[in-house]
Amino acid sequence: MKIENKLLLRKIKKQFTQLLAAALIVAIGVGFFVTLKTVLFQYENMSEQYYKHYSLADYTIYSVGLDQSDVDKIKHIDGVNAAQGRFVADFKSGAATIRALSIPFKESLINKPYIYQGRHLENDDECMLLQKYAKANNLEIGDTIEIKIQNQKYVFKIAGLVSSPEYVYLVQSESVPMADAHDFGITFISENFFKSRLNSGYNQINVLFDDGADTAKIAEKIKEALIPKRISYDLFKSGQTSYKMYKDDLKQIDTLAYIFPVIFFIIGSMMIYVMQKRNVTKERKQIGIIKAMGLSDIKILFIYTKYSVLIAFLGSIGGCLLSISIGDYILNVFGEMFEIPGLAFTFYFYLWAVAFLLSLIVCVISNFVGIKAILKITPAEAMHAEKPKSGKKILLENIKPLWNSLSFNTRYALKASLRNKGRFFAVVLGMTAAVALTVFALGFNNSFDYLINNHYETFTKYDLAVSVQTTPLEKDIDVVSMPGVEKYSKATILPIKVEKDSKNLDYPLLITESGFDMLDIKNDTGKAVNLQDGIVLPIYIADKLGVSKGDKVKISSPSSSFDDVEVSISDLSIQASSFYVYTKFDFIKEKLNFDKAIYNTIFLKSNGDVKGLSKLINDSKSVISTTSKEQDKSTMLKLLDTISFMIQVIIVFAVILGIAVLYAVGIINLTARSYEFVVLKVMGYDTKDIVLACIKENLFQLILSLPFGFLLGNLIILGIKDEFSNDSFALTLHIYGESYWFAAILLIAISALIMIMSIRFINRVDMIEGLKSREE
Amino acid sequence: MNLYEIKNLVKVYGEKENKVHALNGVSINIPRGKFVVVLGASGSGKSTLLNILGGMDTPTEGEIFFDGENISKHTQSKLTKFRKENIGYVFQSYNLLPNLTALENVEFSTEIGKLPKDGAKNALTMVGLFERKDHYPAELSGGEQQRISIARAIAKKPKVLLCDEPTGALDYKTGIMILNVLCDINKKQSTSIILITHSQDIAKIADVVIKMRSGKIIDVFENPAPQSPNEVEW
Repeated sequence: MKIENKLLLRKIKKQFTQLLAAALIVAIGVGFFVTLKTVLFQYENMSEQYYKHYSLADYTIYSVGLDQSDVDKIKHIDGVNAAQGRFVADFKSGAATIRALSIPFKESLINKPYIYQGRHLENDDECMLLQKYAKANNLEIGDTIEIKIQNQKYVFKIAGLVSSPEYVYLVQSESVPMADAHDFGITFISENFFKSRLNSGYNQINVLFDDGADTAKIAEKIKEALIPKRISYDLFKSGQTSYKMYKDDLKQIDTLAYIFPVIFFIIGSMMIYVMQKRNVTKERKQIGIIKAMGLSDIKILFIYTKYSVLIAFLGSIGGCLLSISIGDYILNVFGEMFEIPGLAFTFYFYLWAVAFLLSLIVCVISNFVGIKAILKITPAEAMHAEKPKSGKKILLENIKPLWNSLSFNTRYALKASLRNKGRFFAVVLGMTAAVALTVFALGFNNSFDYLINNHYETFTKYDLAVSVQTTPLEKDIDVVSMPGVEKYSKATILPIKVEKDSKNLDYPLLITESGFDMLDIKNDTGKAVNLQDGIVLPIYIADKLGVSKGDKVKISSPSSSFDDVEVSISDLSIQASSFYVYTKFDFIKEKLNFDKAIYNTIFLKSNGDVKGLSKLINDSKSVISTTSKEQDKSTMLKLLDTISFMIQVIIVFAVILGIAVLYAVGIINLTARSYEFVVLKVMGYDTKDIVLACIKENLFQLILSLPFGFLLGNLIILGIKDEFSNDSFALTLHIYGESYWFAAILLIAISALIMIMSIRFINRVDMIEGLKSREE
Repeated sequence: MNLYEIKNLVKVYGEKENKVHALNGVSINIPRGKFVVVLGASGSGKSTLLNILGGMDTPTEGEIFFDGENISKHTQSKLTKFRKENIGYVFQSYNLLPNLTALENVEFSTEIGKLPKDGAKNALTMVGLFERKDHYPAELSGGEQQRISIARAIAKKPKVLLCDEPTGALDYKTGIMILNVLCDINKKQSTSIILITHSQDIAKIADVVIKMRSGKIIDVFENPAPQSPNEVEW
């Protein structure tokens, strides 16, 4: 082995813990990057393959009374690759809601189910059930399920357990984007069953376009071809909720895949800089000797660079191993939220290569900044001890009365801490990052928790939202007079398009009666919104459209036969979820010249037993489906459970980061100052006083780090909140006080741990040896 | 041809009011193959001269020719090459690399000079320390460390050995031993040796003595009968 490598290896042996600390930080950065990028690539690749091979519809028409002739008309339009009709409706199966999708006996062309177990349908009394629902309800192949269709109970034998490209996310509705699989499921039933038993046609036509086709033009042609049939609404793939959520996920994962590695790489590079700068100072004479012996500057730089290359290498290997060990677990966590068959952690060689290259660049650059002094010193200079740096006044010294009032110990602590600014700020940066990560992790959780609790405890006043058959407003149905109903409000929910200039968005319009109090809709002044003339938009939608109070927008609803109706925005509501466009029956009736108002939803408040009331309501002929506030809330809280693993991982990494930085830089600080400690000891300064000064220095760093850490944690959430907001909810920053306390206590605990190490070191300093080792 | 030809060498440290003239117009020719002692008190400029002769530092003014080649205008990389190929150093405080064993310290020198490793073993044998080859500097006495330092310097077969007060940190007996080793090298290998010292007595072993004071050469004389180190006392 070359002597220079022996030199390096022996140095590494001496500084192994420091090297390991730096490599650990790089490893976490690489681990985050590789894991999240692998999850992203794998999720995207598998999803796109799934969507392609199982033919997720490019376009869907929703209407009533559609039949095969309509499908045939669409098939003949240029640019249409395939078209298929189906019947879709929600039914009750016990307490659960089952969405039944008709499917032909021969293989489906569009939105094909992926069969995990069992087989395709062969008989009318068979069904294929969503595996997630089957698992949640302990159902297996050969079991039966009972579905109540038009007040008659039908029993279906489970022939297959499946997943569907349409339900990667189990979207029940816009307001329930991730339904609880125990309470909501999807089943495929033969088309023949619906035709022969229920005499029903299609209410949806799914379409696949040719590659590269002008989709907007073809959609127009399809709508023309279906005239005079009334289209309720149409939906492109990009607007399908589950697909939109998948696309949002990609953005979110990608954002996180950069934020965390950047933080860890910055800290890692700072550590390498401090370590190597210290090494060059300590080994100044050795560098001089080697230079005198004729080794070139470049070769000496290369020897030192090998140290950082090793950190990059160990960090990359460690990060990739970390990625392998937690990757599957993270995918399983994601698997709780979405379902992609065959989704598993995999090995992307080029991703690992990129991670290694990135960490190599970061490590080598920070290494170079730390060691560039090698180039400046001549061998003759290097042979002599470096001239001690002249002390500089710190800012506080200029405030004479304050400075003079401080004890010698405090003045020493303040001056000592700022003498080596690189090391001081490396510690502050490490502490700041550890606090920021903790605040971010807990704050992210808090923001979701606040969103859910605020939405379901303050905003939502009803207990049950019941979807009913369309009924004239003046007519009551049996539901409202059931025992247990404390009060109710009738409403209509219909899909509309809101348009301003070139921007348009699809949202449900909620039409209510006067005095509607089932939702606590308030504006930004905290007052109840004005539902008089016009519509009320949630601020989230208004921001997306770029409109404000008093502006005019156009609304359209093909299902209700109104198009481009101009309405003014009477107020803007503050809310974080359940984004409706609000208006009143009176206004909409007058504006649209409707003869009479109808309703399709009843919001109910129970006087006690919500579950009992829900059971009763489900037996009503008029009821299509019900959702309960508590059920929705618990589904959302389950989402919090799934992200809690990520939160724990981030907190663990924040602790590792804090310990690694404080330990590595702390060791350097202590060894560099051992001469100073000895001099103080020789002069008769008590060890306790030296320790006290170190504690004060540490406190000084803590005082600086905590506010910056809190601020950075807030900024990270603010920076990503839009990525984590979607049509179902808008994340707002809300960090609970206890999260700040937790982050602060965690950092203080880490500092205390490192302080104990420092005290042991100071106690062990040998006065005789220490006097020989003046380095700075 | 002389080994060194030095013309009007000036070395100034510091700027403006803080200027210090370490060398103030030094001109001299140093013959090849001789044992040369540069004698002077502390602050006379002898270490500065040695550093410039060895290419460890550059002059502010003046010229130095080594084997006819002007090295005073050399870039740092050329000076590195010059040191690698021509110069062996022996320092007062040994300056061995603490993380390397005796043999590795010497081998490092042959490795830098791209010479066979056997040279290192031979050099250690020459200074009588082959049996201590696996010891780290901290495990060796001062005299042993200095002999390792000499072995390191001669292992790469330099044209000149520059010795900066090599006995300064040693007791009398060990100092004599070191001087004997250097004289042996000078005689047996014809390696030129330039040794700086403040001791008049050590100067008695030199072929040529250069006396310096306040950055200037005040006297140069050839020793008609150099003494053996064993005859010297200080």
